[in-house]
Amino acid sequence: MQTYILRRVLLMIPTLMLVAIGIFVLTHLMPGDVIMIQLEGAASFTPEQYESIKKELGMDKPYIYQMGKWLWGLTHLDMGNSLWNNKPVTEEIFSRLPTTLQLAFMAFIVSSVLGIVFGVVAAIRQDTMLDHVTRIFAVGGLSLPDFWVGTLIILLPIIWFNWGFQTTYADPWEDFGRNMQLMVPAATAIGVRASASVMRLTRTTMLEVLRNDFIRTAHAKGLRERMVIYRHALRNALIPVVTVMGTQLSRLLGGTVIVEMLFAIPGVGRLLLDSITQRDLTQVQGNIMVIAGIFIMMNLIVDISYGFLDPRIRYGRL
Amino acid sequence: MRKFRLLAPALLASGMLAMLLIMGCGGSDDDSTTTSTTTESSSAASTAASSSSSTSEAAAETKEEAKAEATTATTTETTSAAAPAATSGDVAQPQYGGEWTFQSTSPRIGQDPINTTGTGYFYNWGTALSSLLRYKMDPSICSGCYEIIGDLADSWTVDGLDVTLHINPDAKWQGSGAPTVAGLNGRNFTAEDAVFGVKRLAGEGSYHVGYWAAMESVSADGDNVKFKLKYPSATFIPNVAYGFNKMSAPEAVDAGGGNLQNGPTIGTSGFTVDCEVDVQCVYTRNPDFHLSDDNGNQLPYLSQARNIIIPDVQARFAAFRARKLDTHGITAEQRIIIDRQYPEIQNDEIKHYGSWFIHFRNDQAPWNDKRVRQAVSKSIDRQEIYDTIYGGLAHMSLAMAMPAAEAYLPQEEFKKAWKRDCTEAKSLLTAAGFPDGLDAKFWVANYSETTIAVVELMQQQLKECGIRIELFIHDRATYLARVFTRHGEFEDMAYGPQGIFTADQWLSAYYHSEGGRNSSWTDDPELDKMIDAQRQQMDPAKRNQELLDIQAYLLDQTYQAVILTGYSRTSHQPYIKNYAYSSGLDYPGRRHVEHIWVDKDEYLTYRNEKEWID
Repeated sequence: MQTYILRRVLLMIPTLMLVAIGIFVLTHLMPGDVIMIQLEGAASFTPEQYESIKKELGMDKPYIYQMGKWLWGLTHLDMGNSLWNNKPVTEEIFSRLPTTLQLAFMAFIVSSVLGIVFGVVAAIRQDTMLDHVTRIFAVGGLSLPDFWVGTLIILLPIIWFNWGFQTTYADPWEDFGRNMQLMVPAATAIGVRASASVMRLTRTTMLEVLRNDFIRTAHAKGLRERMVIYRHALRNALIPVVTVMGTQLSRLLGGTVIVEMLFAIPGVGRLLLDSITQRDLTQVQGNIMVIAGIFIMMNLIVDISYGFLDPRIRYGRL
Repeated sequence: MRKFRLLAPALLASGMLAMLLIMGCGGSDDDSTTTSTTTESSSAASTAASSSSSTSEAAAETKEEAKAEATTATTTETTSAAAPAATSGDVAQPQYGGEWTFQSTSPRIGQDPINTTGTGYFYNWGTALSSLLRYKMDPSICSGCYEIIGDLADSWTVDGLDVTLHINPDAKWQGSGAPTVAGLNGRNFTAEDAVFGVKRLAGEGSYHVGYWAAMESVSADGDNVKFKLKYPSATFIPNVAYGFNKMSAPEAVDAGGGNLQNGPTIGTSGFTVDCEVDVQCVYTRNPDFHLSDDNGNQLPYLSQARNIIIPDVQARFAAFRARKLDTHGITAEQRIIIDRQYPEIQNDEIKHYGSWFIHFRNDQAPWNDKRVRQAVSKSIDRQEIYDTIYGGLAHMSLAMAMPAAEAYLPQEEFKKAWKRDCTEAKSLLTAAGFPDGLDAKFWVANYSETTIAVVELMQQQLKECGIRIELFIHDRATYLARVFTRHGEFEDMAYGPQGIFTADQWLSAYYHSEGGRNSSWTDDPELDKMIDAQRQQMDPAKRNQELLDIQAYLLDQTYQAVILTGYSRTSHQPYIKNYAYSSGLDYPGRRHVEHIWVDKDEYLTYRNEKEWID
């Protein structure tokens, strides 16, 4: 197991390097530049002024030099400074990362609880009205974009009750109540949609497991239904679900981008979107790199967790 | 019972889903509010607003004489169902205390005033700083009018090439509430500070060098700051007053390591600022502020103001409806909801000079032929665009804020010149060698869906007159890099916004062959000569006439086709008083915050969940 983990961690290095090169190339293919946006408010400017700012920001150097600098910086966790506000990119990201992780985690809880509960209910009541309703919910959930659900969550209380959600974010350590007032609706907006795929998968795998011989044996032994479902069926059915949930947590991080904008949450997703709009390329690179890193880490954790969930799985050579 | 336990969550979930689906199918009367309006265009444009001016004060010898002669050139309409006396023109006695909450751009931006032109800085961090002079903010000042008054300097004289500003002896750097920097907090603002600030603004690395182009030298002489100009300039004093030209303290720059990119932000204005990036900025009253209103009451009136950062347009409007915002720029559709459901809300509709216009590639055929450009302009039914997309709230102009009412070309002239006439457009095209019409590429800055609606309507109008355009829609960053530059790299035509500029700024930047925003590649020596002449014309009456001549010339040449100039729609909660909107010439400074006051009784009635702040 330890060897497996070590090998996977070592494999992450070239993976991340390739990701870093890809990010650099793609961000630099974007048209537009940060200087013109910074100068948008200037009635006039001279080409000399433009060149001077370009030099100051290090954008006058050849791309290959800039990429080398970016890659070298990554080796010691230095992603450079933001082209927009000159602050270290890592500082900008890590000051916001806890907020995004909190949102993603809360959305994960919402999606997991809704998904697994409804999935199990649908499976054990297959082809009943309950099953049909939850399946409609799942298909509907897959069809509803996060931003749409989020917009409705914001607008409905205003239209119905003339009441609105909290508008300013608060750190949970400083004002937990105010933090929850903003994070719960935001997490729901992301989680409701994500729960649909968990629910569908849980239902399918539960149905498969419930038809296995060992379930029949368990019933024959006289075990209570609840014991059969939760101890024997659900545990086995959850293995593929965990895989999906693991990758979903990474996807939920992506889902935070729009929802953070909608609910005015100062997280990494919103920073990424702002940076793209402002063509703050160093910040964009840093944000995507961190999200990519988290994604790769989550995949590793999911793979490792198989061994704990299913004792039949053993890790050998790669 | 067990069945019910299993059923309950499913029923709950299906109920939620049904609710969402029902609402998504038309339950929201807000669905249409994402449509942008002139307000939106102006807000997009306001990020690029700028100002310098050419007013009579440059030739005057005293402050009184130097007041601009601008008069009402535009209209300000204020309507309110329940609180008619609450906005511009309010005569009630101002009250001290209270909080005003609004929404603006995020403060995630460098804090050095010399290195930014962004609203994120000037509406947030920059609120703590002042200029030497300022544009007067007053309910009596209407859109399109401006007047220069003192700020850190309380008077000035202009004598040929010598300009002298006298520093206000009451002006002080902020003390309590501002970051602590040794030797600075609470001390008087001096002429040496002014020289330091001006040299930073006019020096290497500053984005605002252009405003100081006429300056030869600056020096301190006791309580006076003395400028020597290179040439007579009708625009120097308005440039000094311009909101970008904020003074910064030498001690603060030292404390910041030679710049103010990461602060400390310590200024001389009516408010100290504390920002939580991407969350909010809180502005706290500076009790030592040096300015008073016309009745001698010290400004500002508010104890506190808060800018809550809400990026999403629907969430913003929801916050306003829930009274979590006191003031909000609204769209035409939102106005309908407000009128119907919130009769107590006050609404301002204010004409301004932010604009949307078409750039031509004047350096290339066929656009170097005046007749082709005129054919495009003649093919567009501007009034139809105003009526169908902007609810009638747009007007015709060349998008320049003039120094005086007499310098504005009458609306009738525009209506006559820009009347849609397909027959004439086709004749012009035939005369230019295009009897079968013309195919062209048309770049668009995608600032909002309103922009797209406008260009699609123009596409139809142009097609009816024989001009077939293919739309290329670009995001803001691409548009700025490719079009909004000295020589635009677009093909044929491009359509985008611009902010509120005074005549000299517009002419110098957009139409002069050396202009930094000459995106249309205009190169007309006769026009260059006219632009240079008006800038140095110190006689106000003569300058007004020169500006009229230039406008007539531009109407004929059609180097760019201005499609519309706009209005701002702003709504306020009933307790907000004295919201002194300006034409934008105070941009970007939020200086009207100093004039706003809150009616305590009404505030506590409507916002009883919030405590009153003294």
